[in-house]
Amino acid sequence: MNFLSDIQRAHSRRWFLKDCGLGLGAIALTSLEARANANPGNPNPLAPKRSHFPAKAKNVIFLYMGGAPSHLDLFDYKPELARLNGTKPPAELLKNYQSAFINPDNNLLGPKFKFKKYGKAGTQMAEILPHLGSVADDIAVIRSMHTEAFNHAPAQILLSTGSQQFGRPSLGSWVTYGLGCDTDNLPAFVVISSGSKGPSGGNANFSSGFLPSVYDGVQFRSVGDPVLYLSNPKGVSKGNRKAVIDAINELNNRHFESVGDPEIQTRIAAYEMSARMQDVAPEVTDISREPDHIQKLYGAEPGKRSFANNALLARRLVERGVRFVELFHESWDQHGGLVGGLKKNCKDVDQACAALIKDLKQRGMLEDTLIVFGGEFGRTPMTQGGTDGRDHHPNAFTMWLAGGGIKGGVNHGKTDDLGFNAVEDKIHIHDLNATILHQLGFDHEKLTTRFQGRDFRLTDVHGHVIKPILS
Amino acid sequence: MRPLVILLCLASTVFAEVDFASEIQPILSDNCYVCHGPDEKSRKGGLRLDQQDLALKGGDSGPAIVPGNPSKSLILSRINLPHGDEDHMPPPDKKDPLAPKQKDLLEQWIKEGAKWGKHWAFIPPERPKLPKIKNDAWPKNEIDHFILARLEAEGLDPSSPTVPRTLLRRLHLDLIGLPPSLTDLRSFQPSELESRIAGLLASPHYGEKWAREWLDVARYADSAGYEKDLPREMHFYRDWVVKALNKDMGYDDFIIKQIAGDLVPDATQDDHIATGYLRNSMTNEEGGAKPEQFRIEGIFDRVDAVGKGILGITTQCARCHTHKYDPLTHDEYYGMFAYLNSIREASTPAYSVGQHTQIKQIKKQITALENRLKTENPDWQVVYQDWQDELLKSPRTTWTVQKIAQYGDAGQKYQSLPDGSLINQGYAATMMSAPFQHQSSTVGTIRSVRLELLNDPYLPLNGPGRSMAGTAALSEYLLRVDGKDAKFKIAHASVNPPEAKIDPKRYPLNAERGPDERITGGAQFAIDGNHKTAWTTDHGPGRSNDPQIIVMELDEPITKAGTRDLRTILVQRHGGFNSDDNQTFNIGRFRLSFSSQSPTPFDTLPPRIREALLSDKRSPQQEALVFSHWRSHNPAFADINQQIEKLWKKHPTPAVALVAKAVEKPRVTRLFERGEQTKPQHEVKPNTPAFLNPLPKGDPASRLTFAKWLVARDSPTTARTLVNRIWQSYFGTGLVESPEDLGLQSPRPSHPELLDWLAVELMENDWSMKHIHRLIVSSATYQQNSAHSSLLRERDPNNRLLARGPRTRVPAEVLRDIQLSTSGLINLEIGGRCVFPPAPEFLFQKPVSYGPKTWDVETDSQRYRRALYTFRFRSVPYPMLAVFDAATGDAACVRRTTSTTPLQALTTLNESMSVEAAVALGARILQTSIADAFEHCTSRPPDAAELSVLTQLFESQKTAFTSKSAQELIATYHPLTLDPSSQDPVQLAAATSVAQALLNLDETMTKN
Repeated sequence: MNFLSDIQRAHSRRWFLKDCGLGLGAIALTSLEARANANPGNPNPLAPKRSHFPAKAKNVIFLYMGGAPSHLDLFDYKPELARLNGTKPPAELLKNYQSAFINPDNNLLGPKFKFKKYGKAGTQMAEILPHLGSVADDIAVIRSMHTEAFNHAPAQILLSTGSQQFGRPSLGSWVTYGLGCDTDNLPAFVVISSGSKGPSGGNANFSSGFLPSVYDGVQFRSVGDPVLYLSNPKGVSKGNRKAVIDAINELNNRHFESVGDPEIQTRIAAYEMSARMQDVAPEVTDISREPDHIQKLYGAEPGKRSFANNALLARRLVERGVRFVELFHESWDQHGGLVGGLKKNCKDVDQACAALIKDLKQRGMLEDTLIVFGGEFGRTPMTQGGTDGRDHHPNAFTMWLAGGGIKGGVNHGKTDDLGFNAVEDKIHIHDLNATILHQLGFDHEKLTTRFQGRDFRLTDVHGHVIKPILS
Repeated sequence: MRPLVILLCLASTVFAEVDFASEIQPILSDNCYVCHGPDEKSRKGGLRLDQQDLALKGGDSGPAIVPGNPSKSLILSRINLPHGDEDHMPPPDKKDPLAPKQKDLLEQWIKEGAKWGKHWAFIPPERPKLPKIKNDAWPKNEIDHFILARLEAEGLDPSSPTVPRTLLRRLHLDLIGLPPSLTDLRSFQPSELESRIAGLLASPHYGEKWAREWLDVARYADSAGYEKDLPREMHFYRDWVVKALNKDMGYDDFIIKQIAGDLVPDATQDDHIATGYLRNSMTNEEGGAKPEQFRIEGIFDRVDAVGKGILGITTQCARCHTHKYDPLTHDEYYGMFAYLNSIREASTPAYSVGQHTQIKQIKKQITALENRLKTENPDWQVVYQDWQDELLKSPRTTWTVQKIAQYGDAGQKYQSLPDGSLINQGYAATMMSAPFQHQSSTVGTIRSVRLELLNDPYLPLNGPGRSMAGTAALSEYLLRVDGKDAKFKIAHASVNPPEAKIDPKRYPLNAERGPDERITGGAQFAIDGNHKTAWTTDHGPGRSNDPQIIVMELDEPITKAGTRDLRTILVQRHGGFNSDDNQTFNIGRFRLSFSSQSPTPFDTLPPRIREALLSDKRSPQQEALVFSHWRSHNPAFADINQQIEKLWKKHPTPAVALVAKAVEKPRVTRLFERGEQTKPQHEVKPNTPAFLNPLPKGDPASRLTFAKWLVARDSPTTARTLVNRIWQSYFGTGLVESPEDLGLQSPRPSHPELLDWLAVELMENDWSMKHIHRLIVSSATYQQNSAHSSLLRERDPNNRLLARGPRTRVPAEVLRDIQLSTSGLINLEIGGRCVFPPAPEFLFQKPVSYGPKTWDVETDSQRYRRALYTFRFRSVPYPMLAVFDAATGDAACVRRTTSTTPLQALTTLNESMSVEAAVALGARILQTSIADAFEHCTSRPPDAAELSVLTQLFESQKTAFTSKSAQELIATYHPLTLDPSSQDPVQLAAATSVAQALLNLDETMTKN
């Protein structure tokens, strides 16, 4: 047995972290040493990593509007659709068109809200989005989005992972796989949900797929325990816990000395980090610590479950080094009750989205935080069940981006006169993903992982960076 | 000795010829095949490098490879151009240049004559000779020869054997997934190793442990996935896997049953259940989903699962285009798809052994009562015959089947079938009115309407409804004539269950409830103008899945029907109260007819009775049916009828097991361009890839043939894939690092000959998996000490050479079972329904879950069942298992990642089940000792220093806990099976802290 020299050296964790290759699988070790060492040879999968080229954005906040908001009533004003309200859609448009619920030949339904021109760019949006209007010159609106899927679960998985097939890594997982994370105390990829339902595709929307599971999105909550199992059991104090972890780590260290498995050091680090997370996470998620004027800016009400609270929390998380925050707001599936539903949803998200932009801007964080807003598809220019609903529609929808090197006041892409098809500068989910990765400093064709004998990437074999919206 | 070994190694590397399959093909595959490989559509310059003749012929620029002449070989000149040159290969913008060593190898290979060879994995394995080794004393069986030969070649020594107790724990964790008890540990003598191994392999828990491994591969879960993620009852399939492994069913049969159990001769309930493997695909029942689209998605998933899990080849690429690396063509993909395309997604009532006995008894008692009736009424035959004659003489109504089509914007889909019926598939609305437009009626005057509810294998338990038990409820039948609802005066049905309040809230328990009552009963409820009452086909378990009929007579006949706008509306509002509820009572398949006559009693006979009555020659079963119908409708037998009804009420409720059945007429398979369903191309007949083994000659093109082909003795990849995955499970990494892919892009096996040897050994021992397990755990390789030396850490950090034993964190399920075992909480019952251990309720509620889900936490010892039995929702995986990398079942998983994260620490320290286990172990500590608990967790007694750390922890915690905080801890987390009042709370809380430390030790969570 030639462990003796090892044992002597192993007394120093510093040695271990500097010299020893942590060979096995996926390790979420985060330590000061590892951070100082930020380089491609670093064994910690969540240590900060260099991107392919200098990045414009450091972090992403993805405002995921699940259920699919109506582009026609909010972002993509179509006077022709208003004019043809109540008439049949042109037959040639419907050739090979599949709808989820409706008879495609249903009457056209004009926009339900008045539109206004906002900002210097004169960006047209519905008047029920006044706050977003007030930051119109900070956002780039893409009105020519299109996708393939027209049912929620497959379409959401496509938006989240670039594929309709379950089992692929999500965008947030790719980003943290590529960049690691800037915090020792919080997860790299955080997911928070609000709205009337949960994500249609379930946890697969933020799964690491075939990437190591350390890149999974971690669910946070704005009420209750912010992270699952964060709080000590009832009756167990901080002191109790510290003594237990100290004992665990001491025994683990002793065992490491006799068996020399670097994985044991990883586990020790994980237990230390869990204790730090217990300190940090409740503080981060406690939005009541924000001054009144900031809470007001978002329309946040501490203790309530709301998108506004989550938006404010997203800023706090990004501020503390979380790489990717995803806010799911699944509320936009207005097959019926279109007017009432949109009014409520806009009330819930409009102010908070604008506040996020303003707040990040005033802190100088907007330039390196990329905000993405949108849902999994659009909605039909044809009506569903009367005159107050729209069906799923993959051919055209709107998304907007801000910050992170995106040019403000840009209106990109066009749909036809009825908002049925994207016709000019068509943008697919793959193009969006290519652009997000580009802003983070990655060539989307080269951020790959080997699985099943081939190099997989987020954009499969597609994707073009949307250059005109970049600053 | 040593210098000589090194010299020999050097000699072999310098003088051996370059091997195409292992050295050249990987370079070509990795760097060239994307543009110069099997896929015609992406081929550049007319050059193909994956086939010898074509590579020698070359492409547009001339011969790429000239054997023996490197300077004339274009491939070399192109790779040797400066990297910036636009003719450089691989193209500078796509790939990095080849490494100098790779260039040298290519040159050397061409110099040596560019000899071609087949990829190793596509040649059926043959038993290799045992390699020569120096240290003859070390091997315990053949495996060790292969391992040692490589170690000796590398100049490494194997590690010493691990200590017996550590070995025993390793064996227990690996073979049955449970840690050894203190008695096991303390009584263990190294001399009884063999008998202990045999005992573990014979343990019923062996099947549980290894079933979990297979269930990952089989993408098992207990819910349907996608948006609704409805619960399923798949546990009979899970139990089938456990049983099959326990009886060491050969892997060939194991696969055949799962792919085609329904087609084997004399298929039993078990054989049908086995096809649940094919049904583990997800199904999408969200509103607006097209059933056919997701049926096809399911087949894509099956091909993927068979490829990854059974064949060890990746098929996904070939769904859209010919594989870029492996010789799998686009057509061949659809050839395999075609075998799986003709599956009917059916269900079968599954009963446990006990239930089967119960049913037999009930039927026996009913027969006895019917016999008594016959004895007590000697003239019964006369009365029975008169009844039949009268019925058969009664006038027959003429019915005309109506052609109708769904209209409106609803999410549910109705599909027309050739017999004029419609079937409701996809989204199952909970409360709806399904409207249909009649195409002009050929019946001049309508006096009566007939609705037949029909069976269909697609429906739960064959239907006729879509409730979980296959029943239906019709709240109201509306015939809308020119916009006005017609009035009916009377309705008769073939079944008229007694009036009952139904509670459609089985799933989810916690969904918002509506205020109204739902009442079901006989035919009149379908026309009573009240949507809260419904006619139902629910006749109780055991007899609710027959076709039924309802006939309704109009108040006033409708004349000139052909000229009117006729609509039928099937009001079905007896499912759950909102779209989040999972229960529906929708009619599954139905056919509508009109008649100008009034109905007769003959019209309302149950369809199966009518069929039997009209049959020229009744089968004994038909005879029994008719007799039962007669006596149950004869008031003279009220007493016996009542007794029989009571017996029926005792009939057990089956599980609805999803199974695969063959469709009567095979579906036509078409190749999908780019894998897109909207772009079907030419027809593809069932077929298998040419580069694999040939199909058995003369066998029909059936799924059974496909199954047999998968596990044929000459399959080059099947046995290798299985033994590789088993190896991976023991050692952390397979002999081939990528268990899902043995193809051209797979990393070279660490011990290719051992892989082949094991594969042949498997097949020559009747595909016995236990045999392979026995060989592995009996080997000196497996039994080595797992400690890392600095030399090994440097030379072989991932232990691919196996100079030490395996040391890996146990899988999620084993970790849970360790907590439950060492604390004494575990309930080792085997099989049965899934269980719901504690989990935070909010996970199953909006907005975390898409809709509310039932998670009805167990309140007895079911809570402490092995993790194998924990219910698995695909969209909301059980958090404790998910955080330790358990698979979700969304797709076949043949290799889990193993992570170590702070979230895991939070889970094992704070999750309520983990804390319950700690309290229980704490109570044990107080009864026995810290040292015993340590030993149970790690298999070894603590040394003095370790014991002192733990004793100090105990002492300090006794003062750190107040009586109040201790009481709070114990009151919240004391296990159901423990009476906390018998313990001093502070003592127990302090011991719980010690137990938490023990359960969180790396050594406890690791196979050492």
